[in-house]
Amino acid sequence: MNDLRTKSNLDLKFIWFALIAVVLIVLESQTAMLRSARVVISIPVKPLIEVAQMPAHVKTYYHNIFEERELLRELNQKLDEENKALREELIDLKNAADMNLWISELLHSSETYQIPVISAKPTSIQLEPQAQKIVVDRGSTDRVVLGQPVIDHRGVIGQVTAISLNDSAVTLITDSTQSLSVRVRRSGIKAVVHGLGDSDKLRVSGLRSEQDVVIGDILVTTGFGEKYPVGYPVAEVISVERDKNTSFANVYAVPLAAHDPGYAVMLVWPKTELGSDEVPLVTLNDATQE
Amino acid sequence: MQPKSNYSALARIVPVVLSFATAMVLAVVALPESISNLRPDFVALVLIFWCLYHPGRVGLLVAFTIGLLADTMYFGILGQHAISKVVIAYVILRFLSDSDLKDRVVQQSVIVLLLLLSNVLILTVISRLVHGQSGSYLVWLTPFVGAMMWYLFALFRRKRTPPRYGIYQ
Repeated sequence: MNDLRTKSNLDLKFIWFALIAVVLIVLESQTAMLRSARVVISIPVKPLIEVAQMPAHVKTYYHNIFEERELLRELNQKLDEENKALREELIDLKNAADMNLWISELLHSSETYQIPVISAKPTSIQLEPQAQKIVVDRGSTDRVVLGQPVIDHRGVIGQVTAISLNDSAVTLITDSTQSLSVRVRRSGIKAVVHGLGDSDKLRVSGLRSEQDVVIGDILVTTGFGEKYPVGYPVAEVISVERDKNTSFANVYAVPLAAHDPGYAVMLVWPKTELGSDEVPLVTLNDATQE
Repeated sequence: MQPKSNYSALARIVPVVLSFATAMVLAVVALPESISNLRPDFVALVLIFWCLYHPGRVGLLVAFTIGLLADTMYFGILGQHAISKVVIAYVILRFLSDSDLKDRVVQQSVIVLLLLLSNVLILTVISRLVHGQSGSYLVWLTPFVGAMMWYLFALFRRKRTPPRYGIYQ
């Protein structure tokens, strides 16, 4: 390692590798060319991801065994009640869906009611601390696409930003790179929600001081840009400050999605991403029947 | 030239692969939030170890490959960890291979601290250029945690290693 030739050789190698890395970074940030490369590189890494999840699996396993009977009984009762309530709601929803279908047929609308979705499980993988990201167990083999919205039973979680063979990374709406267009469900006023890098706070912009927003208002997706499904809950307003000096109100909200490792999430295919010849994997109706 | 080793090729490669695999698992395994944000870049630490103690076993190609694998594992920007790991390996192999750091636990720890800080700097600059966000400042604490771990590790290693056993074999 000491002679001059190996050293200049090393310099040359360093320049080459640094150049390749820079090219990769530029390609990655400007184009979608490396999408399949990532899937290929992720194959040898897959076992490591499995190993990294083992402690969490063991923990839930033992937790399940030793959890007290009483707790389980309580939980069971709670779930039972919730189930009954949800079933009643489902009947109403089915009626509404039938009605909707009937109306859209009357209007000769080509748009179908069904939204293609697939359920996924969040893994216990922790990514870099500054990024508000989770990893879910669906990847390119499940035809996950970049930018795909991810929702759960309570609200919008985020969107898919990187895909490997069997997993993908979901950037949460609370990440500082994320923002989405919403409207206030009660009054219909449009606004934009921005992530702050904080897991339980979102900034709401675009609301003027005189507009009707109060604490407790639910913000829902507008479906603008067809990325997220329309009318899905995003956040609840927690603070509204009206400053006399500026014309805009300072509004903050808390995200509604639970994104708890225990709960399954749904990946939704945007309308534009699936061609007419491609049959959706699971439709919303199938998912609810499961 | 690398002195001829008594080990077979397999016995030389397996510890390298296993150590990097362990480091990558440690980097993403679920930990309580208070510790999780403070964990150092284990992959960088392992790379520093191999470059310092067994420079014949790893080179820039290994550093680049490991970095690329780490990038997919963390779902980050492809090339981000690759370049930061190549820089670490290059700095050690090019500028520190002549210096005798054997048994100098404190000097070693300082070098590790500087390398880990440069690692964080490179990663932060790249994610800032690509995403335009600065992220948490907590990430700047991780090199100090890493250097402290290295200090303890090097003390332990010095105690265990018989004095005739040199750093570069």
